Amino acid sequence: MNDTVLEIVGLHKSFGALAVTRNINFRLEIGARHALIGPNGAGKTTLVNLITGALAPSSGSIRLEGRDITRYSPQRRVSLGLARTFQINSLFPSMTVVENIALAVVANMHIDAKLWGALNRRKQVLIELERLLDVFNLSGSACQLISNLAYGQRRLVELALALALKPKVLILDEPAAGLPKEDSGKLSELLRRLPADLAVIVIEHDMQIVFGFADRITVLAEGSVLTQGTPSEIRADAKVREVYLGQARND
Amino acid sequence: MAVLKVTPSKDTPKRDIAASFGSHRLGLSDALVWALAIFAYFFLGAYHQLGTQVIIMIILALSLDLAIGYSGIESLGHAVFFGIGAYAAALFALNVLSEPLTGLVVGGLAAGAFGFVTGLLVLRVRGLTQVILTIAIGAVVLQVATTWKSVTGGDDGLAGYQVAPILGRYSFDLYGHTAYLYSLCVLAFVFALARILVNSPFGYVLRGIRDNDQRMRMLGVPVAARLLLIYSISAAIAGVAGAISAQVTGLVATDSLSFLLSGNVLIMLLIGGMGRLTGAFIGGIIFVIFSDRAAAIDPFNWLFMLGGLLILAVRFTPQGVGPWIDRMGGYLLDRRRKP
Repeated sequence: MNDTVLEIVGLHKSFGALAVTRNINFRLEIGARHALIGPNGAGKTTLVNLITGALAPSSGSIRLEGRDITRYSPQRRVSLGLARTFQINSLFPSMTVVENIALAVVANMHIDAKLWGALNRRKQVLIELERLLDVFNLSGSACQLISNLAYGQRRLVELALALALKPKVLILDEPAAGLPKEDSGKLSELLRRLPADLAVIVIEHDMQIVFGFADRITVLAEGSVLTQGTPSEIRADAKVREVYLGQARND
Repeated sequence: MAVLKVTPSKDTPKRDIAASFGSHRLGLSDALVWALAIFAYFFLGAYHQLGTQVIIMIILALSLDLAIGYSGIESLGHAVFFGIGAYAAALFALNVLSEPLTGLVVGGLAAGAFGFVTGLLVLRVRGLTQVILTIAIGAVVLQVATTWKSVTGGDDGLAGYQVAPILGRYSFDLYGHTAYLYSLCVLAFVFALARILVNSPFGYVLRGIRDNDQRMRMLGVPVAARLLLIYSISAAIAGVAGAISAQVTGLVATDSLSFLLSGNVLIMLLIGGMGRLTGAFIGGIIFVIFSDRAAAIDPFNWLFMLGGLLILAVRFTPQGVGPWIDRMGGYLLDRRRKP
Protein backbone atom coordinates (compact mmCIF):
# COMPACT_ATOMS: atom_id res chain seq x y z
CA MET A 1 0.00 0.00 0.00
CA ASN A 2 1.18 3.44 -0.85
CA ASP A 3 0.04 5.40 2.15
CA THR A 4 1.73 3.14 4.71
CA VAL A 5 4.15 5.24 6.75
CA LEU A 6 5.37 2.81 9.34
CA GLU A 7 5.35 -0.95 8.99
CA ILE A 8 6.47 -3.41 11.64
CA VAL A 9 6.94 -7.02 10.60
CA GLY A 10 7.58 -9.93 12.94
CA LEU A 11 9.29 -7.85 15.58
CA HIS A 12 10.87 -9.94 18.30
CA LYS A 13 13.02 -9.00 21.25
CA SER A 14 14.35 -11.22 23.97
CA PHE A 15 16.71 -10.60 26.85
CA GLY A 16 18.32 -14.00 27.30
CA ALA A 17 15.51 -16.50 27.74
CA LEU A 18 12.95 -13.81 28.46
CA ALA A 19 10.97 -12.78 25.40
CA VAL A 20 9.55 -9.30 26.01
CA THR A 21 8.33 -8.65 22.49
CA ARG A 22 6.93 -11.54 20.48
CA ASN A 23 6.14 -11.43 16.80
CA ILE A 24 4.53 -8.03 16.62
CA ASN A 25 3.08 -6.84 13.31
CA PHE A 26 1.31 -3.65 12.54
CA ARG A 27 1.18 -0.84 10.07
CA LEU A 28 0.41 2.83 10.30
CA GLU A 29 -1.10 4.82 7.49
CA ILE A 30 -0.80 8.54 6.86
CA GLY A 31 -2.89 10.35 9.42
CA ALA A 32 -3.40 7.24 11.56
CA ARG A 33 -4.39 7.64 15.19
CA HIS A 34 -3.19 4.45 16.77
CA ALA A 35 -3.31 3.67 20.47
CA LEU A 36 -1.14 1.09 22.14
CA ILE A 37 -2.61 -0.21 25.36
CA GLY A 38 -2.03 -3.09 27.70
CA PRO A 39 -1.48 -3.77 31.37
CA ASN A 40 1.83 -2.93 33.05
CA GLY A 41 4.60 -5.20 31.82
CA ALA A 42 2.84 -5.89 28.53
CA GLY A 43 5.87 -4.61 26.61
CA LYS A 44 4.62 -1.22 25.48
CA THR A 45 7.75 0.65 26.45
CA THR A 46 9.97 -2.03 24.93
CA LEU A 47 8.05 -1.78 21.68
CA VAL A 48 8.48 2.00 21.66
CA ASN A 49 12.19 1.60 22.33
CA LEU A 50 12.43 -0.85 19.44
CA ILE A 51 10.64 1.51 17.09
CA THR A 52 12.70 4.56 18.10
CA GLY A 53 15.94 2.60 18.02
CA ALA A 54 16.87 2.73 21.72
CA LEU A 55 16.85 -1.08 21.58
CA ALA A 56 17.82 -3.37 18.70
CA PRO A 57 15.33 -6.15 17.92
CA SER A 58 16.38 -9.80 18.01
CA SER A 59 14.53 -10.32 14.75
CA GLY A 60 11.96 -8.67 12.55
CA SER A 61 12.00 -5.40 10.67
CA ILE A 62 10.79 -1.83 10.87
CA ARG A 63 10.10 0.20 7.76
CA LEU A 64 9.56 3.92 7.59
CA GLU A 65 8.04 5.00 4.27
CA GLY A 66 9.26 1.79 2.71
CA ARG A 67 12.82 2.23 3.93
CA ASP A 68 14.19 -0.46 6.22
CA ILE A 69 15.32 1.41 9.36
CA THR A 70 15.76 -1.63 11.61
CA ARG A 71 19.50 -1.01 12.00
CA TYR A 72 19.47 2.79 11.97
CA SER A 73 20.61 4.83 14.96
CA PRO A 74 17.92 6.63 16.98
CA GLN A 75 19.08 10.05 15.77
CA ARG A 76 18.99 8.98 12.12
CA ARG A 77 15.42 7.74 12.60
CA VAL A 78 14.50 11.11 14.07
CA SER A 79 15.91 12.96 11.10
CA LEU A 80 13.96 10.66 8.79
CA GLY A 81 10.75 11.73 10.51
CA LEU A 82 10.21 9.51 13.53
CA ALA A 83 9.72 11.67 16.62
CA ARG A 84 8.63 10.89 20.14
CA THR A 85 7.75 12.53 23.40
CA PHE A 86 8.91 11.18 26.70
CA GLN A 87 6.89 9.85 29.58
CA ILE A 88 9.05 11.86 31.95
CA ASN A 89 9.67 15.32 30.55
CA SER A 90 13.04 15.45 28.88
CA LEU A 91 13.85 19.07 28.22
CA PHE A 92 16.67 21.57 28.56
CA PRO A 93 16.11 22.94 32.07
CA SER A 94 18.51 25.89 32.06
CA MET A 95 17.14 27.28 28.81
CA THR A 96 13.99 29.26 28.11
CA VAL A 97 10.84 27.84 26.53
CA VAL A 98 11.59 29.56 23.26
CA GLU A 99 15.18 28.28 23.26
CA ASN A 100 13.98 24.74 23.92
CA ILE A 101 11.62 24.79 20.97
CA ALA A 102 14.25 26.56 18.88
CA LEU A 103 16.62 23.63 19.36
CA ALA A 104 14.09 21.34 17.70
CA VAL A 105 13.50 23.89 14.93
CA VAL A 106 17.25 24.14 14.37
CA ALA A 107 17.51 20.37 14.18
CA ASN A 108 14.63 20.20 11.73
CA MET A 109 16.08 22.91 9.50
CA HIS A 110 19.48 21.19 9.61
CA ILE A 111 21.24 24.38 10.66
CA ASP A 112 22.72 22.86 13.83
CA ALA A 113 26.24 23.20 12.44
CA LYS A 114 25.88 26.85 11.36
CA LEU A 115 28.63 28.65 13.27
CA TRP A 116 27.51 32.17 12.48
CA GLY A 117 24.34 34.21 11.96
CA ALA A 118 22.64 34.76 15.34
CA LEU A 119 19.86 32.27 15.95
CA ASN A 120 17.44 34.93 17.14
CA ARG A 121 17.93 36.96 13.96
CA ARG A 122 16.98 34.17 11.60
CA LYS A 123 13.62 35.06 10.15
CA GLN A 124 12.53 31.53 9.25
CA VAL A 125 13.32 30.27 12.72
CA LEU A 126 11.37 33.11 14.33
CA ILE A 127 8.34 32.59 12.11
CA GLU A 128 8.29 28.88 12.91
CA LEU A 129 8.71 29.59 16.63
CA GLU A 130 5.85 32.06 16.56
CA ARG A 131 3.64 29.45 14.96
CA LEU A 132 4.51 26.76 17.50
CA LEU A 133 4.14 29.08 20.48
CA ASP A 134 0.70 29.99 19.21
CA VAL A 135 -0.39 26.40 18.64
CA PHE A 136 0.55 25.44 22.18
CA ASN A 137 -0.45 28.76 23.69
CA LEU A 138 3.00 29.20 25.15
CA SER A 139 3.61 32.77 23.99
CA GLY A 140 3.08 34.08 27.49
CA SER A 141 5.83 31.96 28.97
CA ALA A 142 8.26 32.15 26.02
CA CYS A 143 11.04 33.67 28.10
CA GLN A 144 10.52 31.50 31.18
CA LEU A 145 13.21 29.00 32.10
CA ILE A 146 11.98 25.42 31.86
CA SER A 147 13.02 24.87 35.45
CA ASN A 148 10.54 27.58 36.52
CA LEU A 149 7.64 26.10 34.57
CA ALA A 150 4.63 24.18 35.94
CA TYR A 151 4.47 20.50 35.07
CA GLY A 152 1.57 20.81 32.66
CA GLN A 153 3.32 23.50 30.70
CA ARG A 154 6.48 21.45 30.45
CA ARG A 155 4.29 18.76 28.94
CA LEU A 156 3.25 21.27 26.28
CA VAL A 157 6.86 22.19 25.54
CA GLU A 158 7.63 18.48 25.21
CA LEU A 159 4.88 18.21 22.57
CA ALA A 160 6.03 21.40 20.85
CA LEU A 161 9.55 19.98 20.55
CA ALA A 162 8.24 16.84 18.90
CA LEU A 163 6.02 18.75 16.47
CA ALA A 164 8.80 21.19 15.60
CA LEU A 165 10.63 18.24 14.07
CA LYS A 166 7.81 18.01 11.48
CA PRO A 167 7.69 14.25 11.91
CA LYS A 168 5.81 11.75 9.77
CA VAL A 169 5.30 9.46 12.72
CA LEU A 170 4.88 10.76 16.25
CA ILE A 171 5.01 8.50 19.28
CA LEU A 172 3.39 9.94 22.38
CA ASP A 173 4.56 8.07 25.44
CA GLU A 174 1.89 8.58 28.11
CA PRO A 175 1.15 12.23 27.28
CA ALA A 176 -1.27 12.50 30.23
CA ALA A 177 1.15 11.06 32.78
CA GLY A 178 1.35 13.32 35.78
CA LEU A 179 -1.26 15.74 34.49
CA PRO A 180 -4.00 16.81 36.87
CA LYS A 181 -7.32 15.14 35.96
CA GLU A 182 -8.94 18.38 34.85
CA ASP A 183 -6.20 18.98 32.30
CA SER A 184 -6.56 15.68 30.49
CA GLY A 185 -9.61 17.02 28.66
CA LYS A 186 -7.56 19.90 27.38
CA LEU A 187 -4.88 17.45 26.34
CA SER A 188 -7.46 15.52 24.31
CA GLU A 189 -8.43 18.72 22.58
CA LEU A 190 -4.80 19.45 21.79
CA LEU A 191 -4.30 15.93 20.44
CA ARG A 192 -7.28 16.40 18.15
CA ARG A 193 -5.55 19.44 16.66
CA LEU A 194 -2.45 17.51 15.62
CA PRO A 195 -1.75 17.76 11.86
CA ALA A 196 -4.11 15.54 9.88
CA ASP A 197 -1.40 13.88 7.80
CA LEU A 198 0.70 12.94 10.83
CA ALA A 199 0.61 9.31 11.91
CA VAL A 200 0.38 9.14 15.69
CA ILE A 201 0.99 6.28 18.09
CA VAL A 202 -0.18 7.02 21.59
CA ILE A 203 0.56 4.95 24.66
CA GLU A 204 -1.79 5.87 27.44
CA HIS A 205 -3.46 4.52 30.53
CA ASP A 206 -6.23 7.08 30.54
CA MET A 207 -8.96 5.22 28.63
CA GLN A 208 -10.96 8.37 28.09
CA ILE A 209 -8.09 9.82 26.09
CA VAL A 210 -7.46 6.56 24.25
CA PHE A 211 -11.06 6.02 23.15
CA GLY A 212 -11.57 9.67 22.34
CA PHE A 213 -8.46 9.88 20.21
CA ALA A 214 -7.63 6.60 18.53
CA ASP A 215 -9.22 5.24 15.40
CA ARG A 216 -7.39 1.99 15.87
CA ILE A 217 -6.18 0.26 19.01
CA THR A 218 -3.58 -2.44 19.53
CA VAL A 219 -3.78 -4.32 22.80
CA LEU A 220 -0.55 -5.83 24.04
CA ALA A 221 -0.31 -8.54 26.66
CA GLU A 222 2.81 -10.37 27.74
CA GLY A 223 4.82 -9.07 24.83
CA SER A 224 2.52 -10.03 22.01
CA VAL A 225 -0.48 -8.54 20.29
CA LEU A 226 -3.64 -9.70 22.00
CA THR A 227 -5.90 -8.08 19.47
CA GLN A 228 -6.21 -5.10 17.14
CA GLY A 229 -9.26 -3.21 16.07
CA THR A 230 -11.39 -0.10 16.16
CA PRO A 231 -12.30 1.37 19.55
CA SER A 232 -15.77 -0.18 19.44
CA GLU A 233 -14.38 -3.62 18.56
CA ILE A 234 -11.89 -3.37 21.41
CA ARG A 235 -14.58 -2.22 23.78
CA ALA A 236 -16.67 -5.24 22.86
CA ASP A 237 -13.80 -7.74 22.97
CA ALA A 238 -14.18 -10.20 25.81
CA LYS A 239 -10.46 -11.07 25.97
CA VAL A 240 -9.54 -7.42 26.36
CA ARG A 241 -12.08 -6.92 29.08
CA GLU A 242 -10.58 -9.86 30.86
CA VAL A 243 -6.87 -8.92 30.74
CA TYR A 244 -7.13 -5.21 30.79
CA LEU A 245 -10.27 -3.25 31.17
CA GLY A 246 -11.73 -5.64 33.68
CA GLN A 247 -8.86 -4.93 36.02
CA ALA A 248 -9.55 -1.24 36.14
CA ARG A 249 -13.22 -0.46 35.78
CA ASN A 250 -16.10 -1.00 33.43
CA ASP A 251 -16.69 1.74 30.92
CA MET B 1 -5.17 28.33 36.30
CA ALA B 2 -5.82 26.38 33.15
CA VAL B 3 -2.54 24.76 32.27
CA LEU B 4 -3.44 23.38 28.91
CA LYS B 5 -5.55 26.06 27.33
CA VAL B 6 -5.47 25.84 23.55
CA THR B 7 -7.04 29.05 22.35
CA PRO B 8 -4.51 30.41 19.89
CA SER B 9 -3.27 33.87 20.67
CA LYS B 10 -2.73 36.17 17.72
CA ASP B 11 -0.11 38.63 16.61
CA THR B 12 2.83 37.99 18.86
CA PRO B 13 5.40 40.52 17.77
CA LYS B 14 8.45 38.64 16.55
CA ARG B 15 10.64 41.10 18.39
CA ASP B 16 9.40 39.58 21.64
CA ILE B 17 10.36 36.10 20.57
CA ALA B 18 13.81 37.20 19.51
CA ALA B 19 14.21 38.89 22.90
CA SER B 20 13.26 35.70 24.73
CA PHE B 21 16.60 34.20 23.76
CA GLY B 22 19.34 34.41 26.35
CA SER B 23 21.82 35.38 23.68
CA HIS B 24 25.04 37.07 24.64
CA ARG B 25 24.37 40.76 24.84
CA LEU B 26 27.01 43.35 25.51
CA GLY B 27 26.52 44.32 29.12
CA LEU B 28 28.04 46.68 31.61
CA SER B 29 30.78 44.19 32.49
CA ASP B 30 31.95 44.12 28.84
CA ALA B 31 32.00 47.91 28.67
CA LEU B 32 33.98 48.15 31.92
CA VAL B 33 36.51 45.57 30.80
CA TRP B 34 37.26 47.17 27.45
CA ALA B 35 37.37 50.64 28.96
CA LEU B 36 39.84 49.35 31.52
CA ALA B 37 41.99 47.73 28.82
CA ILE B 38 42.23 50.95 26.81
CA PHE B 39 42.77 53.03 29.94
CA ALA B 40 45.60 50.68 30.91
CA TYR B 41 47.27 51.16 27.54
CA PHE B 42 47.45 54.93 27.87
CA PHE B 43 47.98 55.42 31.57
CA LEU B 44 49.53 52.26 32.98
CA GLY B 45 52.55 51.87 30.70
CA ALA B 46 54.61 50.31 33.49
CA TYR B 47 52.13 47.43 33.80
CA HIS B 48 51.97 46.42 30.15
CA GLN B 49 53.84 43.19 30.74
CA LEU B 50 51.43 42.20 33.49
CA GLY B 51 48.57 43.37 31.29
CA THR B 52 49.79 41.11 28.50
CA GLN B 53 49.78 38.17 30.91
CA VAL B 54 46.22 39.06 31.89
CA ILE B 55 45.12 39.15 28.25
CA ILE B 56 46.78 35.84 27.43
CA MET B 57 45.01 34.23 30.39
CA ILE B 58 41.70 35.78 29.32
CA ILE B 59 42.05 34.18 25.87
CA LEU B 60 42.83 30.83 27.48
CA ALA B 61 39.89 31.18 29.89
CA LEU B 62 37.61 32.10 26.96
CA SER B 63 38.59 28.90 25.20
CA LEU B 64 37.89 26.89 28.34
CA ASP B 65 34.53 28.61 28.76
CA LEU B 66 33.49 27.47 25.28
CA ALA B 67 34.25 23.89 26.32
CA ILE B 68 33.03 23.80 29.93
CA GLY B 69 30.59 26.68 30.25
CA TYR B 70 28.82 26.35 26.93
CA SER B 71 29.20 22.69 26.01
CA GLY B 72 29.60 20.87 29.31
CA ILE B 73 32.94 19.33 28.31
CA GLU B 74 34.76 19.05 31.59
CA SER B 75 38.38 19.71 30.82
CA LEU B 76 41.07 19.99 33.42
CA GLY B 77 43.80 19.77 30.83
CA HIS B 78 43.47 22.89 28.74
CA ALA B 79 47.11 23.82 29.41
CA VAL B 80 48.03 21.05 26.96
CA PHE B 81 46.57 23.04 24.09
CA PHE B 82 48.14 26.24 25.40
CA GLY B 83 51.53 24.53 25.61
CA ILE B 84 51.27 22.88 22.21
CA GLY B 85 50.33 26.22 20.67
CA ALA B 86 53.32 27.82 22.40
CA TYR B 87 55.80 25.15 21.32
CA ALA B 88 54.41 25.12 17.78
CA ALA B 89 54.73 28.90 17.46
CA ALA B 90 58.24 28.87 18.93
CA LEU B 91 59.44 26.02 16.71
CA PHE B 92 57.87 27.71 13.72
CA ALA B 93 59.69 30.97 14.51
CA LEU B 94 62.93 29.07 15.11
CA ASN B 95 62.89 26.89 12.01
CA VAL B 96 60.56 28.35 9.43
CA LEU B 97 59.44 31.92 9.58
CA SER B 98 59.67 34.63 12.22
CA GLU B 99 56.51 36.42 11.08
CA PRO B 100 54.21 36.51 14.17
CA LEU B 101 50.72 36.35 12.63
CA THR B 102 51.55 33.18 10.70
CA GLY B 103 53.00 31.88 13.96
CA LEU B 104 49.66 32.47 15.67
CA VAL B 105 47.85 30.53 12.98
CA VAL B 106 50.39 27.69 13.22
CA GLY B 107 50.00 27.56 17.02
CA GLY B 108 46.24 27.54 16.74
CA LEU B 109 46.18 24.86 14.05
CA ALA B 110 48.60 22.61 15.93
CA ALA B 111 46.56 22.81 19.13
CA GLY B 112 43.29 22.46 17.22
CA ALA B 113 44.54 19.31 15.50
CA PHE B 114 45.65 17.88 18.82
CA GLY B 115 42.24 18.76 20.27
CA PHE B 116 40.56 16.94 17.40
CA VAL B 117 42.60 13.77 17.94
CA THR B 118 42.31 13.71 21.74
CA GLY B 119 38.66 14.76 21.47
CA LEU B 120 37.91 11.43 19.79
CA LEU B 121 38.92 9.87 23.09
CA VAL B 122 37.88 12.46 25.67
CA LEU B 123 34.38 13.06 24.31
CA ARG B 124 33.40 9.41 24.47
CA VAL B 125 32.95 9.76 28.23
CA ARG B 126 31.41 12.33 30.50
CA GLY B 127 31.73 13.65 34.03
CA LEU B 128 34.54 12.62 36.31
CA THR B 129 35.97 10.13 33.82
CA GLN B 130 36.29 12.94 31.34
CA VAL B 131 38.09 15.15 33.85
CA ILE B 132 40.55 12.36 34.66
CA LEU B 133 41.16 11.66 30.96
CA THR B 134 42.02 15.29 30.24
CA ILE B 135 44.41 15.32 33.21
CA ALA B 136 46.00 12.07 31.99
CA ILE B 137 46.53 13.43 28.48
CA GLY B 138 48.09 16.51 30.02
CA ALA B 139 50.47 14.39 32.07
CA VAL B 140 51.53 12.36 29.03
CA VAL B 141 52.22 15.43 26.90
CA LEU B 142 54.15 17.10 29.73
CA GLN B 143 56.30 13.98 30.09
CA VAL B 144 56.99 13.89 26.36
CA ALA B 145 57.95 17.58 26.35
CA THR B 146 60.30 17.10 29.30
CA THR B 147 62.00 14.08 27.76
CA TRP B 148 62.22 15.09 24.10
CA LYS B 149 65.05 17.56 24.66
CA SER B 150 66.19 17.86 21.05
CA VAL B 151 62.91 19.48 20.07
CA THR B 152 61.52 21.13 23.20
CA GLY B 153 64.70 21.87 25.09
CA GLY B 154 63.38 19.78 27.96
CA ASP B 155 63.38 21.43 31.36
CA ASP B 156 65.55 24.28 30.06
CA GLY B 157 62.74 25.37 27.82
CA LEU B 158 62.81 26.62 24.28
CA ALA B 159 64.37 30.02 23.64
CA GLY B 160 66.58 31.87 21.20
CA TYR B 161 64.04 32.39 18.47
CA GLN B 162 63.35 35.77 16.90
CA VAL B 163 59.94 37.22 16.28
CA ALA B 164 59.75 39.67 13.39
CA PRO B 165 57.85 42.97 13.68
CA ILE B 166 54.07 42.64 13.36
CA LEU B 167 52.98 43.33 9.77
CA GLY B 168 56.63 44.24 9.20
CA ARG B 169 56.21 47.51 11.11
CA TYR B 170 55.64 47.16 14.83
CA SER B 171 58.54 45.43 16.53
CA PHE B 172 58.27 43.99 20.03
CA ASP B 173 59.87 46.34 22.56
CA LEU B 174 61.48 45.65 25.90
CA TYR B 175 58.67 47.24 27.90
CA GLY B 176 55.90 45.19 26.33
CA HIS B 177 53.95 48.10 24.83
CA THR B 178 53.67 46.40 21.45
CA ALA B 179 53.01 43.04 23.07
CA TYR B 180 50.14 44.54 25.05
CA LEU B 181 48.45 46.04 22.01
CA TYR B 182 49.15 42.94 19.92
CA SER B 183 47.56 40.58 22.44
CA LEU B 184 44.68 42.99 23.01
CA CYS B 185 43.93 42.96 19.28
CA VAL B 186 44.01 39.17 19.20
CA LEU B 187 41.73 39.09 22.25
CA ALA B 188 39.25 41.42 20.55
CA PHE B 189 39.29 39.15 17.50
CA VAL B 190 38.84 35.98 19.56
CA PHE B 191 36.09 37.57 21.64
CA ALA B 192 34.21 38.65 18.52
CA LEU B 193 34.51 35.14 17.08
CA ALA B 194 33.38 33.53 20.34
CA ARG B 195 30.42 35.87 20.55
CA ILE B 196 29.29 35.05 17.01
CA LEU B 197 29.76 31.38 17.82
CA VAL B 198 27.70 31.29 21.03
CA ASN B 199 24.83 33.24 19.47
CA SER B 200 24.73 31.02 16.39
CA PRO B 201 22.47 27.98 15.98
CA PHE B 202 25.54 25.87 16.73
CA GLY B 203 26.07 27.78 19.99
CA TYR B 204 22.54 27.00 21.14
CA VAL B 205 22.90 23.37 20.13
CA LEU B 206 25.97 23.20 22.37
CA ARG B 207 24.01 24.56 25.30
CA GLY B 208 21.34 21.99 24.56
CA ILE B 209 23.95 19.23 24.62
CA ARG B 210 25.28 20.57 27.93
CA ASP B 211 21.78 20.49 29.43
CA ASN B 212 20.56 17.15 28.06
CA ASP B 213 22.67 15.35 25.48
CA GLN B 214 20.29 12.38 25.22
CA ARG B 215 17.41 14.62 24.25
CA MET B 216 19.61 16.44 21.76
CA ARG B 217 20.31 13.10 20.11
CA MET B 218 16.59 12.42 20.00
CA LEU B 219 16.13 15.68 18.12
CA GLY B 220 18.29 14.14 15.42
CA VAL B 221 21.46 16.12 16.13
CA PRO B 222 24.78 14.26 15.75
CA VAL B 223 26.00 15.14 19.24
CA ALA B 224 29.45 13.54 19.02
CA ALA B 225 30.36 15.46 15.86
CA ARG B 226 29.18 18.78 17.31
CA LEU B 227 31.15 18.25 20.51
CA LEU B 228 34.26 17.33 18.54
CA LEU B 229 33.95 20.54 16.56
CA ILE B 230 33.69 22.80 19.61
CA TYR B 231 36.46 20.91 21.42
CA SER B 232 38.77 21.46 18.43
CA ILE B 233 37.80 25.14 18.22
CA SER B 234 38.37 25.55 21.94
CA ALA B 235 41.75 23.82 21.66
CA ALA B 236 42.74 26.05 18.75
CA ILE B 237 41.91 29.21 20.72
CA ALA B 238 43.93 27.92 23.68
CA GLY B 239 46.74 27.29 21.20
CA VAL B 240 46.54 30.89 19.98
CA ALA B 241 46.88 32.05 23.59
CA GLY B 242 49.96 29.84 23.94
CA ALA B 243 51.40 31.16 20.68
CA ILE B 244 51.09 34.77 21.86
CA SER B 245 52.75 33.82 25.11
CA ALA B 246 55.66 32.24 23.22
CA GLN B 247 56.02 35.26 20.94
CA VAL B 248 55.91 37.99 23.56
CA THR B 249 58.06 36.29 26.21
CA GLY B 250 60.58 34.72 23.83
CA LEU B 251 60.60 31.56 25.93
CA VAL B 252 58.52 28.41 26.18
CA ALA B 253 58.97 26.31 29.29
CA THR B 254 57.36 23.02 30.22
CA ASP B 255 55.20 24.74 32.83
CA SER B 256 53.10 26.09 29.96
CA LEU B 257 51.85 22.50 29.70
CA SER B 258 51.41 21.97 33.41
CA PHE B 259 48.41 20.84 35.38
CA LEU B 260 48.84 23.96 37.51
CA LEU B 261 47.99 26.17 34.55
CA SER B 262 44.93 24.06 33.69
CA GLY B 263 43.75 24.42 37.27
CA ASN B 264 44.41 28.15 37.37
CA VAL B 265 42.34 28.76 34.26
CA LEU B 266 39.47 26.82 35.75
CA ILE B 267 39.72 28.95 38.90
CA MET B 268 39.59 32.10 36.75
CA LEU B 269 36.38 30.86 35.17
CA LEU B 270 34.92 29.98 38.56
CA ILE B 271 35.69 33.46 39.85
CA GLY B 272 34.42 35.25 36.74
CA GLY B 273 31.45 33.03 35.94
CA MET B 274 30.98 30.27 33.38
CA GLY B 275 28.96 30.19 30.19
CA ARG B 276 28.86 33.95 29.72
CA LEU B 277 32.11 34.95 27.94
CA THR B 278 32.66 37.98 30.17
CA GLY B 279 33.45 35.62 33.03
CA ALA B 280 36.79 34.91 31.38
CA PHE B 281 37.64 38.61 31.36
CA ILE B 282 36.68 39.30 34.94
CA GLY B 283 38.19 36.08 36.25
CA GLY B 284 41.41 36.56 34.28
CA ILE B 285 41.88 40.12 35.50
CA ILE B 286 41.13 39.33 39.13
CA PHE B 287 43.21 36.16 39.19
CA VAL B 288 46.37 37.43 37.51
CA ILE B 289 46.45 40.81 39.23
CA PHE B 290 45.59 39.35 42.60
CA SER B 291 48.29 36.66 42.27
CA ASP B 292 50.82 39.27 41.22
CA ARG B 293 50.03 41.61 44.12
CA ALA B 294 49.78 38.78 46.65
CA ALA B 295 53.15 37.41 45.54
CA ALA B 296 54.68 40.88 45.81
CA ILE B 297 53.40 41.30 49.35
CA ASP B 298 54.33 37.83 50.59
CA PRO B 299 56.38 35.73 48.13
CA PHE B 300 56.10 32.63 50.34
CA ASN B 301 52.48 32.51 51.44
CA TRP B 302 50.68 34.16 48.55
CA LEU B 303 48.94 30.95 47.55
CA PHE B 304 47.21 31.09 50.91
CA MET B 305 45.63 34.40 49.93
CA LEU B 306 44.64 33.02 46.56
CA GLY B 307 42.88 30.12 48.26
CA GLY B 308 41.09 32.58 50.50
CA LEU B 309 39.93 34.57 47.46
CA LEU B 310 38.59 31.43 45.81
CA ILE B 311 36.65 30.40 48.92
CA LEU B 312 35.14 33.88 49.21
CA ALA B 313 34.22 33.91 45.53
CA VAL B 314 32.53 30.52 45.64
CA ARG B 315 30.76 31.36 48.89
CA PHE B 316 29.38 34.75 47.94
CA THR B 317 29.15 34.68 44.14
CA PRO B 318 28.58 31.03 43.18
CA GLN B 319 27.72 32.12 39.62
CA GLY B 320 30.89 34.19 39.44
CA VAL B 321 31.47 37.91 39.73
CA GLY B 322 30.25 38.70 36.18
CA PRO B 323 26.49 38.31 36.79
CA TRP B 324 26.89 40.35 39.95
CA ILE B 325 28.39 43.27 38.06
CA ASP B 326 25.67 43.08 35.40
CA ARG B 327 22.97 43.07 38.08
CA MET B 328 24.52 46.17 39.61
CA GLY B 329 24.49 47.74 36.17
CA GLY B 330 20.84 46.80 35.65
CA TYR B 331 19.98 48.24 39.04
CA LEU B 332 21.70 51.55 38.26
CA LEU B 333 20.02 51.79 34.86
CA ASP B 334 16.59 51.05 36.34
CA ARG B 335 17.05 53.76 38.90
CA ARG B 336 17.87 56.22 36.18
CA ARG B 337 14.77 55.31 34.19
CA LYS B 338 12.46 55.77 37.16
CA PRO B 339 12.74 59.39 38.30
